[in-house]
Amino acid sequence: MYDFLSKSKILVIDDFAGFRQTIKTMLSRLGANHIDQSSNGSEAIKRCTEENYNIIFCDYNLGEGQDGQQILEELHQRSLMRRGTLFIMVTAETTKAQVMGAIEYRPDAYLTKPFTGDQLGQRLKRLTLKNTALNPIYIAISANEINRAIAICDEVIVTSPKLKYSCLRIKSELLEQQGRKDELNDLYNDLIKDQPVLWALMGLGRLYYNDGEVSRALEHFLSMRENFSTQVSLLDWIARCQNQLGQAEKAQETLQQAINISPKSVKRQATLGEVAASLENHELAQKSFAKTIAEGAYSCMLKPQHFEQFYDNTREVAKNLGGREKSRLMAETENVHKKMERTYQKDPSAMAANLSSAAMLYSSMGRSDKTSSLLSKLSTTLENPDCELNEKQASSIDKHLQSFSDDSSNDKSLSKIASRLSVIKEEIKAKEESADKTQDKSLIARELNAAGIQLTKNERYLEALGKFREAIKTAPENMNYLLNAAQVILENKELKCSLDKKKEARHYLVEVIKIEETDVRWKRYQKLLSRVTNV
Amino acid sequence: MSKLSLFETVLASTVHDMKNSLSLLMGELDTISQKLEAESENLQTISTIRYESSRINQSLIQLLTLYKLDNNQLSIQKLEVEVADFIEDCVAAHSLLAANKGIQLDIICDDMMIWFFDPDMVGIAINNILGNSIRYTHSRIVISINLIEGHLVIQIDDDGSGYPENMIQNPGDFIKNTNYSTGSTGLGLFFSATVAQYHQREGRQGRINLKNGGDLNGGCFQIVLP
Repeated sequence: MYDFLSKSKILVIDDFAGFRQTIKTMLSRLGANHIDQSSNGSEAIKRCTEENYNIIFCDYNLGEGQDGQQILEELHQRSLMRRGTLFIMVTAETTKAQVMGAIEYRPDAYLTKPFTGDQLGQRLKRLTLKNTALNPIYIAISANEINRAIAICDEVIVTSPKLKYSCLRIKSELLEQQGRKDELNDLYNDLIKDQPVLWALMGLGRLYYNDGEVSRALEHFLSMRENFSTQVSLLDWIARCQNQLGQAEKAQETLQQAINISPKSVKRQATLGEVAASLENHELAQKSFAKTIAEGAYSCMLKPQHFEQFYDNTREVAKNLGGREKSRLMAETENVHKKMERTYQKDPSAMAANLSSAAMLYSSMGRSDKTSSLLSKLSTTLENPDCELNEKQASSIDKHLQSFSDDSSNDKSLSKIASRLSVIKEEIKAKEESADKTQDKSLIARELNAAGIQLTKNERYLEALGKFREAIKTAPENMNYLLNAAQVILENKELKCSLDKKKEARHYLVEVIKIEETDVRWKRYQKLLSRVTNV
Repeated sequence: MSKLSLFETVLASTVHDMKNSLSLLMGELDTISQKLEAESENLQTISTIRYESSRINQSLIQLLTLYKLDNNQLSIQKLEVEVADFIEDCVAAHSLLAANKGIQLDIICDDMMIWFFDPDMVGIAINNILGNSIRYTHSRIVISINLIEGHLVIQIDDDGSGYPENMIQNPGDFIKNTNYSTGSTGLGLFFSATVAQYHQREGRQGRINLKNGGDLNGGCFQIVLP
């Protein structure tokens, strides 16, 4: 029995109900009380937005949908995991996931099926001990005291030599964040003197790349291939350098190798699509974007422009096809298009940009009925007040529309779209020219505030406060942001101890002075106010 | 689909499937054995089932891994490894089995030691050797870790009757060590030798050693990693 497990909230993600039950039984026997289960990625991610888990067990191979690595990446990207949350990747094959995992997002441990309760307990105990030893570093990081965090890394290395590499790795990440290149360079070089430490070698390459020394970075990454030939992150970086240096064909080849090893990455498929399209290899580009969309079904990595790129490349491919091949392509397009309309039904801007390229594709395939309905849908979508196109989207729609000029059957829709589009373009221009960018600003502030709320949920209070501060800077009169900033300070044990922070909170509340008693936020305001006046 | 890649797909997914079944089987076995703890007559049966299922599992893993190494789908990935933790993990996989058979398992390792090797591959190798030691030992197994002249030496001693002479002469020689009458193929030793040889550093190559006698006057296995 392990005491710490009784207080831990645990999530088990596996598509196989029998196996979820097996782990659950083992964990209960070890003393765990709170165990939730999910059978797939989207369900798991939803759970993580609702609950802060201490330990997540995730099977790597989840059949259809996201795999374990994609779930881990999404949880990181959307800040849905607290620092110190243990993510344990469960694999059927010992070695596979290690090779396929991105070097940037790594689980805390891999566990290979089958394992016994003893193995599980021992592993958890050790990971928890390690976490406890590293915790002072995490605390300093979430308090945004980076220099102190770095100093603690050095202290822990002395007190627990076996955590040397873990500490150095965290330290390197902090130095990278801070742009302290010289120290980072020394740290990496010192490490790789004796042994080929994968993450240090990767870091060194990244350092060269970010410094603009792309050829040097490429040479460095290529030299790593001998030792790490099947590491996909390495292949991704090689392709990135090659593409940057104008060696698009080589980049395409490298990406294809990476995809052979690990085909499920949405980002990698999209990158291959872009590189192939730049080489006018439309067939490959079309296939890659089709896979991007298929793999991205539930992923935050799937972007609206991936559909547009699918349509555009499909159009190029269709030009050279006839008969059965063309029908097959048609059927594929129908499928993708349905997915597009489903995905962006609440995002009219993304919808509009995609509808125009879809219309052009259908038109080039001789499907005039579908083309007309898409154009009239585009016309309605553009009238939607929530449809706020950016310049790129507007000009892309414009470009697609040019090709319809010969066809008279859609004249009515086309002229309607054209006139609406010219209004939209005027608006975009006006917005740009006017010094007052209130609307943009409010959007930015809204996003900052949302990020702050998410961070608060994950108990990363200082980072949250940072977001609220920025939101206030962008939109100083918004009461919500002021209240959120004050609340995050006053409801956190550490933050409210600092006199400066408390003054800061008081300052925010003074700013909300205009609030009226009838306001729904009045009670909350009073409660917060009582906390600053108490001192 | 070409013949080879069809085989590859079938092999990989079949092994995956078999391993899933084994996972369940072994999980259930844990549950049953905890329920039956008091009735010692069952312990022997359970421990045999457990041992044989973990042997199937290990053979499957070794088979797939060797296949992939051979086809360049896998390579040795050296990582920094906290050696004591690594060995404890290997032992934990066998602790219940050893306990059921009344075998004492000891580890002698400097807790702070870090070394560079592929923990997955070496882990598979060690697990297999440990499984065999548990089968053949009398009452004790000692795993000791030492750094000797720039090599990590993981040594597994038992107090059983030792390795057959032909194995000691040709450790890791798969063909020579296959003995159909005893069902011993030497796959585990072959795997260990292969994994050790893939570990290279500054012109030095890993290897395995076998001898009889040793600290416990039984079988003694060493894997040596540069």
